[in-house]
Amino acid sequence: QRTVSGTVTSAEDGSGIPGVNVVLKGTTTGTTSDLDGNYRLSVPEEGGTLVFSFVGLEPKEVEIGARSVIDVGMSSDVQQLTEVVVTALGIERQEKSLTYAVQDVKGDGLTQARETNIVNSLSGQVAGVQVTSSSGTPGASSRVVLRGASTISGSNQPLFVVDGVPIDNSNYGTAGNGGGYDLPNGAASLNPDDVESISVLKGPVAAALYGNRGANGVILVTTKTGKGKKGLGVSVNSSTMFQTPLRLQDFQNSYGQGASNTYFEFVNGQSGYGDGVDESWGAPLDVGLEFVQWSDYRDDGTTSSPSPWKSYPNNIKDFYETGVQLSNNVAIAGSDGDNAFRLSATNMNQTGMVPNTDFNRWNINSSASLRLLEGLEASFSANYIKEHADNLASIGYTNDNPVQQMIWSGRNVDLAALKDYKNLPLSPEGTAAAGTPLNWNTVFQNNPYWGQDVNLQGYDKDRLIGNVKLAYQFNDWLSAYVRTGIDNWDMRNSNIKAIGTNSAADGFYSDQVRRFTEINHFYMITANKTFGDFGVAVSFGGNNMIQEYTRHYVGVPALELPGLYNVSNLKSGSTPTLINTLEEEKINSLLGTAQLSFRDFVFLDISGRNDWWSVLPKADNSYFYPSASLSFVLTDMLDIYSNALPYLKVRAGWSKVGSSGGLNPYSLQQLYSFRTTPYGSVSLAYNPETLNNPNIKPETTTGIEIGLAAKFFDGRISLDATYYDQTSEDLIVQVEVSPTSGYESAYDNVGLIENKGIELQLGATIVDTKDFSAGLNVNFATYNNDVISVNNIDGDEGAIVLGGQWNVDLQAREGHPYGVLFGPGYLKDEDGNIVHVNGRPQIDPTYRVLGDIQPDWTGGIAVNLRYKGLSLSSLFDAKWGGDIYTMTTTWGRYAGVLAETLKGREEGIVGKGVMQSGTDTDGNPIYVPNNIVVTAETYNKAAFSNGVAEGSVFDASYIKLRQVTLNWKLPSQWFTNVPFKDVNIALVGRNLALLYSKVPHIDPESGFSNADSQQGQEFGQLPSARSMGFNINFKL
Amino acid sequence: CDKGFEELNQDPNNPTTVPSDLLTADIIRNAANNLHSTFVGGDMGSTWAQLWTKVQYNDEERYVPRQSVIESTWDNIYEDVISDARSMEILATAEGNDVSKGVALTLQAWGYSLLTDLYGDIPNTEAIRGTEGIFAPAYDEQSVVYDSILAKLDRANALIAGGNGSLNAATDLMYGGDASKWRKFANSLKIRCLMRISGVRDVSADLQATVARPIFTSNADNAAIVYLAAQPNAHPFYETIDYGSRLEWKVSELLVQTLEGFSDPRLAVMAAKNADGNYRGKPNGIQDVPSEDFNYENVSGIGEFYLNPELPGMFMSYAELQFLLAEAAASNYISGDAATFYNAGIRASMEENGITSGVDAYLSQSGVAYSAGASAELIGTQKWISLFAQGVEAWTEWRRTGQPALSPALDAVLSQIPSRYSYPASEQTTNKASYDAAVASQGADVLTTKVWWDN
Repeated sequence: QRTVSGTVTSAEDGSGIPGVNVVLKGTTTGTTSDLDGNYRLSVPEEGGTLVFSFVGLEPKEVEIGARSVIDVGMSSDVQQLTEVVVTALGIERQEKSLTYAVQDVKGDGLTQARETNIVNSLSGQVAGVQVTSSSGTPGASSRVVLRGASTISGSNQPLFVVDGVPIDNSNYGTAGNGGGYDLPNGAASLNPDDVESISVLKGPVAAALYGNRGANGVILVTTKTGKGKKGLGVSVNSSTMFQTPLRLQDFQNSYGQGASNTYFEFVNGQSGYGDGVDESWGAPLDVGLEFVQWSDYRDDGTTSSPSPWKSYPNNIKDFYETGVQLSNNVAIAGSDGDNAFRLSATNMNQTGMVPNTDFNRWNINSSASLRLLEGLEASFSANYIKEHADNLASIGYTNDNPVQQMIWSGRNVDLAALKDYKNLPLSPEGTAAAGTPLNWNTVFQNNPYWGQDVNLQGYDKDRLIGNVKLAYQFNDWLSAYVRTGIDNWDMRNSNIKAIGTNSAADGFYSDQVRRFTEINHFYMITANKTFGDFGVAVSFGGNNMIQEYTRHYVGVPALELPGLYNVSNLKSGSTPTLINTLEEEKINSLLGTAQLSFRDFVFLDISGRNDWWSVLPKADNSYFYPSASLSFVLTDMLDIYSNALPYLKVRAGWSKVGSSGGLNPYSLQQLYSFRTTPYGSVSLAYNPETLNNPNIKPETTTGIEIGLAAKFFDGRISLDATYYDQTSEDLIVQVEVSPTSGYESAYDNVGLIENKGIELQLGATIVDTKDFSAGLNVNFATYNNDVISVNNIDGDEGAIVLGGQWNVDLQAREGHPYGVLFGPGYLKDEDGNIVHVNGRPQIDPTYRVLGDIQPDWTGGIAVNLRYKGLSLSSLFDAKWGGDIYTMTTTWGRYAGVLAETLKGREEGIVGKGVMQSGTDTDGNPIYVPNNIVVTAETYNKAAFSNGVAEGSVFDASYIKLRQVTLNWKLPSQWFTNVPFKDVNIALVGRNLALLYSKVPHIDPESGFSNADSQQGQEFGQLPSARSMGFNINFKL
Repeated sequence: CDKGFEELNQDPNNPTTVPSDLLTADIIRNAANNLHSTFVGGDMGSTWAQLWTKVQYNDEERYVPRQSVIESTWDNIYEDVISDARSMEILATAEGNDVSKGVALTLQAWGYSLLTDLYGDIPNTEAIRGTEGIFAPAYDEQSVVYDSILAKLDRANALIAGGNGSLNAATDLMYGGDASKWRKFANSLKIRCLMRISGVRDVSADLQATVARPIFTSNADNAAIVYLAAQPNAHPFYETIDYGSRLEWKVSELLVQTLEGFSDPRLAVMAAKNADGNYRGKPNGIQDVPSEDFNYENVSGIGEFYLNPELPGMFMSYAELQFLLAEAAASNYISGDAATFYNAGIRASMEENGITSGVDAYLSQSGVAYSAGASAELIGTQKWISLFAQGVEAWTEWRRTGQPALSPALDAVLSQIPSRYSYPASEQTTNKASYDAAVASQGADVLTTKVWWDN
């Protein structure tokens, strides 16, 4: 016997690699490298070969010969076949053995992007993932959908799972048509600095083990741990980002407020009869006219002499401030080989582009693992998150939203002069804004700067996400674990409206606390054994889930004393609104999965999960969700491996998963209810308008997917393609019934949606040398979504209203994709020309489908270039197809503020289309081209109003330059005598440019919030942010 | 694996059952809020009756109806008023509470009468049977609906007269639990219903019999919700116009001229002075407003009295009953002196408006003083004035009587004042076969089709 020793190092950076298996070929003799990569092994006196292997690295064989010291450099496996991917229930699988589509995103990509909402960083990165960010305001939510909609009443967003524990991704904001505010979606609590990787289980086959929570796919987040670290390490990451509006409305600057093109006057704190006209169809600007304006009004109710009637082209641009987002993270991690820990603290502090808006988040993340005994490991992770905002922005159609008064505005108004509101006169009695600082309009609007300062939507959330796990390795093939995980949060919202606020003349205050707890117990036993050519991995386990949600709300609709925001300050005679809700539910599950492999080139996965759910009827509360999938690595199986085609795999799978849809606890029995606002001191009991269904079932999604994965040219090009076909049925629908039945709707399992599509990922390493590399990643997905049925009425084009604003509905309508915009269009002749009467476009009294929100395809292209320590990466993403209804355009044109309303101001407009000249002998109308001239005001008000939506529905396709980062890894020799190392400086830009869009005035990627009901619509949207800044990180 | 699930899934937040009379408050509140909404009673009631007008957003005044109002009235009255009153009836039957049952029947009858007067043929026989799986009820002809309404009111009268049971004083937002007043309301409402169909059916015997029952005898009997001082439980006029600062609702030129013609003291109550200190109405209609001629400043708004948050939300007034009785007497449907009823109606209206002096002089002046030869015009005009804050009833009675004489609004899209609401569009999707049958039977689903009693 003799001894061989040496060091295993990384071929890329020369650092030691711990944990590498070193085995004497053909024997069971072996060891693993220590934390510094050193190993020592006894070998026979003569000959012998050492095999070095480690997951993710190319295995290496070295003949020992006569040497006693063998140092080995190992490099990443170019074929990446041994890359480990996290799959359902946290089971790690080699990519090669996957039988369904999973795509992952590494944590360093997330930290570089510096998106505060982690969901946004998935945009353009993963094939088939649709991300919509609602706006660029602090705390804004984002929506993510995998493979299109599969439910009508429930959420279409995937289940988020952190370290094996499901977390809540709800949004409790009240965004929308009537105004309100958006809140961060639940997953936005996650801190990019703490994320090791994200794994996206796109479809039901990959997500089958999640049973009745798997229909929308699953996003698995793995947080960082100290494992694999060597000794103690400290890392610091600091970023500073500045935010400016990506796109603002294009306003006209030639005509001012009013309805008369010759006259304007602001008297008695109002602009005469024109004050009802908060529009810009008035007299021309910058032509030497002078009128008495709001700024000429004095404290004593008089006005000074007229002032020049002029334009302020930048008045709205200047309203926005530069948003600042600071994020600082310090993490300490360490390991001694058996035990590991990581502690991380992050503060993210953001101020918005809209004055006096903010959002702050603290994340304290800790994790540790301890080897208690040989084979027995205990571990935990705990994420404590605190979110706080003094004021989240108001959104939607409400005069609390400052953008609303930019759309209903006088273009002659110097907004900046309103800023010093403390030194302005007060609006006089008799105006809606009485007693509050003067504004250019005191009937419909408050001074916007005052409103931003005094009317506050406060927000706080405290959250703990964590788990404790005990794992035991019985022997080399049998292991078991138990884990308990929790997601627990308390959220508080308060809403302040000062006395004199237009939307609440007597003031308003509400305070609301919500609490959510979900606890999951898992237990699982796993056997993993090889029998000759066959490999078997079998797991069996269970899951008990309990969820509890409570809500307490107190709202005071009028205040007794000004400036005191407490529910005790209730105005005499008024009635508070009181809500208190408790909901509890449980799911008990048993599950099993088996993977069989043959010679590492055929893989068969089967799984089954049975869920018992408390919300379902007693007699029918048990549902079984199976899956089966198969893959063949053809290059190995047919032995056709070559440098040109080193890897080719085909795969196919089938699965059935479930969804709760919109089914909540207590939905079986018909109950009475009390209104949350009593009638003074009298309680209001009533019979609810929705008829519950004692026989309701969960929703089911059944799907197949087939795919192939291939690598070409030594692995320099990789391709992954998936086709899926999914049917979601028994969808729970609140079927709209005739109100004459006594009910508005009745629950039933009648919905059916089909989704088909293709997902492609292409990766290419074009150049890869020591100093220079260039790579490309492309992803692409098509969608074909079809709502087959929403009710059980034969022959009727049934529809379910998901949401909407004014008279446009967002619907799930039979025979159309999920999410059609349904509303009033223009009246047209047989040839599709708009019919005019007296020069005005006419409205078709029959509402119709005006568009839909589903894209035809989405895609992203990432280009990564590196020269020595300098790397440049850019990401373009595109969404093609799908429509948006923008009421910014509607009201902006109606009110004459947008640039396009200049057309015809002097000479009038002849609407493009036809008018009726008479009737033929059969009584049908005869149409001739319209030739009636009307004023621009008349035309725009007829063509754009809440009565007709067609003119404001646009193709929402876009191409964006989503991200550019320029990262400089400072040469390590600069830091030999200082405690720093691994210093990186990055310049980062996000949401940089809208390269293509057909929608005027707004970012086409807009929605009121991340709720399904709020998609494809906007009004007065707070602009999305173009973020630019820098990021510094280093280690100690 | 499902141990304890059934217990866990019992709703801790809501009751499985309630005492029948606990439902009364919400039914009355919903009914009144819908009836007196500025978009219903205002836009598609008072402006059509030409009592009110608007200086902006006046599409409805020009007979472009607001579809959402057509929809919400149908929905609210069926789902929140009739359906809940039917639940109340069922609960009261089980309780053996005849009084509560009688009130429940009265509220159902009121709901059906409002709907059939607005829309014409409506579901009645098969309505409110969703729990039996009937989600698309057939429509009944209006005559059938009226038979059912009259029968309900007769049963209500008998049940309340029997005296078994009681009402919750707190939740009775109309009469504070006084069953005798509910009985008067049921009978007075029946008189309104009988008069409504008097042009198409001989109602004299039924009317004479009903007059003999307890009916309203003073303003103290008025069927009205007692609104509270602050929103959201204040009168909708206050909530929208005053609290909501939507000042576009104004008084019409016809009202101002009519009242000025009689030196009517109610003018100063119903109308506010304009910026010039005058009472100035606006002609109904006119497309492009506000304008220099008619705007927020120079047209009189709704009088302060009617913007009081606690203005009673009237379902039916003693004054209206007196005018109906005057007409019934003048038409010889009932015995009695038409002039007496007529004068009592004016006195009651004056009293409602807080006017106590000068009424005798008012009654004796030419153009007001009762004369049998001009009874229809006199009664019609005075009833119209008295219904100033009850737009739907004012328009409906104009449809029936043609009094006072009205011309269609200026710049209107129809050449006649609407005769009904069209059906809500939702019926075409949720109840299409029944809807189609109703349209085939009644006539085109347009605003100008006349309802049965109007033919």
